[in-house]
Amino acid sequence: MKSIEYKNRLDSVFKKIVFFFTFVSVIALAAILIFTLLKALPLFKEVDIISFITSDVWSPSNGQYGILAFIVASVLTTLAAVLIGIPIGLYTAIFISEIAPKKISNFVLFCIEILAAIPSVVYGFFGLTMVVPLIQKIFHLRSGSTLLTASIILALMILPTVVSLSTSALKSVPKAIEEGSLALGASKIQTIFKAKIPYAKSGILTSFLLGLGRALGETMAVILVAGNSNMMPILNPLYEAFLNGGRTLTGNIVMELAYASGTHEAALFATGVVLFIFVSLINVVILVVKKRGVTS
Amino acid sequence: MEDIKFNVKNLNLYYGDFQALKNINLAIRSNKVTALIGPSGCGKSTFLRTLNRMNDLVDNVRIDGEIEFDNHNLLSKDIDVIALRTKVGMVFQNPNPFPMSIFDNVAYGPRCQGIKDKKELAAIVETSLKQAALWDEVKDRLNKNAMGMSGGQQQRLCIARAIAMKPEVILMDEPTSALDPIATKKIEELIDILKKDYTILIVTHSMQQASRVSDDTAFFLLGEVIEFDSTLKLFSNPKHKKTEEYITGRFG
Amino acid sequence: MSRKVKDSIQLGFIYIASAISILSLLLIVGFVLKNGLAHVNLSFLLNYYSVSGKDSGILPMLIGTLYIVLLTLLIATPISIFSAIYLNEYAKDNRITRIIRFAIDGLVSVPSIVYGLFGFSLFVTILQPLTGGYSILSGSLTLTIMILPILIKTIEETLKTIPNNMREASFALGASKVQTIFKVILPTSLSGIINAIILGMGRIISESAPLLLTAGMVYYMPEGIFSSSRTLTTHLYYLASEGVNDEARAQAYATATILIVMIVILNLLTRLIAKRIHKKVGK
Repeated sequence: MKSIEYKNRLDSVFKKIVFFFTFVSVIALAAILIFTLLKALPLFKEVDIISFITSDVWSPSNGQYGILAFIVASVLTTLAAVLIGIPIGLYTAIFISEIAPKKISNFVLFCIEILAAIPSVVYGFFGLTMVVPLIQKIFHLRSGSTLLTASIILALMILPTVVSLSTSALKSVPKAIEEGSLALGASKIQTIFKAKIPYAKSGILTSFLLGLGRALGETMAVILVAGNSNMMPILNPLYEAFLNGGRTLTGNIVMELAYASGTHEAALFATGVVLFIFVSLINVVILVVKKRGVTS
Repeated sequence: MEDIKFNVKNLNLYYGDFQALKNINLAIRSNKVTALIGPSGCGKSTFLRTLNRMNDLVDNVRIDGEIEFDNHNLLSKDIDVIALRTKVGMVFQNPNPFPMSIFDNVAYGPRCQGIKDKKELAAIVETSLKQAALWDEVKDRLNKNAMGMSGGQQQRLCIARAIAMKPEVILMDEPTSALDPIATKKIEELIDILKKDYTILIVTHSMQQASRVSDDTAFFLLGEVIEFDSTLKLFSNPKHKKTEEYITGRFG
Repeated sequence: MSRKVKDSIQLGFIYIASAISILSLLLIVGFVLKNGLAHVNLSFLLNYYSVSGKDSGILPMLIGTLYIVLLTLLIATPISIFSAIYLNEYAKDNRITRIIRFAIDGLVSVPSIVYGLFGFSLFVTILQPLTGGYSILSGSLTLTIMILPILIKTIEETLKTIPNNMREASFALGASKVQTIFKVILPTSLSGIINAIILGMGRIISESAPLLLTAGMVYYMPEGIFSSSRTLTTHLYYLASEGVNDEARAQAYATATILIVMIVILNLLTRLIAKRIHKKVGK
């Protein structure tokens, strides 16, 4: 039998070990922010922040670094993806949690899991070989690599996030809410839409926001189908923006980093910082939504 | 002959292989309060939930027999369950208001029936809350979230919510078991007022409550109705030995 | 009857949306497999890549993927298990642990390209003498940091499901904290931890953007962890974006097929494990 003293010593050593590893992960995670910021800083010796964000001229060879065109392209594709993906996702979640018999809903959930696990390059490849020619044919375009194509692929990619999280939100609604509604003569569908969804709204909203974040941060699928031209999207009429190619924030980084140096490289890191800020904003909104969900 | 609301004939109910209700025969009188008493698991709640077909929600349930309600067998397949539930309202053991405003909670049922007119809804909400003796307490904060009310208020809100459907019957499944004595007293007073307009069935664990609020009492044991009589007779002069043992607290 | 009409319209939407969800999966998977399966054969799996396209294969990319998966998990698994143990078994609920949890939650949703940027600046450029610049090591270190948050989170969730009375029972029998962790907590949560690792494996296999920036695009057989290497995903990206001829397309379909087969197998594995966990809990 081991002595008590030995046990105690082992305990305190182990506690130090696990603390060390936690420390390592926290440091590693903090390093991401610090490094990206540090590498972005040299840009602002030459370009001020305002014109970096508000200029739509990106021409590294002339020392012009404006990312407005990429911000607009990112926002447009993300919003369109969310507009397509959210209703499909939410209604699929309702099917899984409320309508389908257990076996079928299990099968659909499995499909959704696979959809979530398919590499983004495969989505991009699928978009490139299937959706791009289709869009070209339907709209009689010179090229089918458009922001619309990117939005459609992104909509598919955020489906799993929206479906799986909305499904668990709906499944966690207490039975009493459902019974209370049915006992008042509400139909099954009314119960779902008027009682269960309002009850689960914080979870459902969170699933929308996470989908939004995923669409915003997606890179490889987008660069394969979006055309990547660094021109400002045409905003008037808006559909023109979607029927032409464009470059997103993520696309800009991955397209140019390999051969960039100096200020150019710093500008790409700054693009990453902007992306990071967008995602953090979404995270803050998620936090607010969750908190309000808890208090009500 | 007296007015009968529910006429239950040879009712049997099974959960899979387990028979939860055995050959129930009861005649529930209109505009009276009927109490259902008995030890836990005796089938009294299950019976209550057959009256508005809430058992339909449970998998693997099989029911045979007949329950006559408004000249129809409410167990028959072609009955419109939704229409039935608007006539037979229900209040649950734990108050279960929806996480929305007090007004929206009461207006929920009428809205589901397609009533959209704001004035009409406001009138329904006001009369329902008044009937549930809650109006004076909440009239200034109808737009506040119902989850912020006390448990007793929440339960009266659930009663108001049921009343808003203008039902003929209100089923109450141990409505006061989650409430303190003062809130319980208020609900009991409310039941006494409501029975003028509604037929009320109440499942209760408390013999005192049954004797205080009800006109008739049915004593359930192991899925059977052992005795059914006017409350006065059943408590003062039970015919069955098991009933006497239960009401004198010898088991259960 | 307007309610019935409204209800059936809503129900119609529900069926249509679900059909779209399932069909899009079937479409993607079917499309890839239909065009790709015919090109998957032994020589495709065992040959080196050749630019000319004749008898080209993906062995270097398979090996490169394997390297990156193993190396990343080798580093990430112990760190995440120990961190999760610290957070769940040792850390008190104070401001610092709350900040750590908040950071971990937030970092789960940071786009992988940001991790790529970070890995590029630290491992590929600053630490070049140690990592070899664009290399399997740089890629693995980057992916390690990328999957740490999700691994820590998933493992901590598993540890949380262990009821407290199990810990108390162990302490009451005179076991120390370390003994309790190694003899009760870790064995009980083993399937959950394995599940988390498989989940991480899936993410590593699927990831491409950060690898493009840290592991490079060399298509030779990797000689070790300091070699640059393509993975299956970055190879597919290369074939899809550069390859315009039929031969390159065929290889792209075949590569995508292999990726899809891999992730389906991994998903079936997690399902199996989930079932086992379920059974255990059921007992």
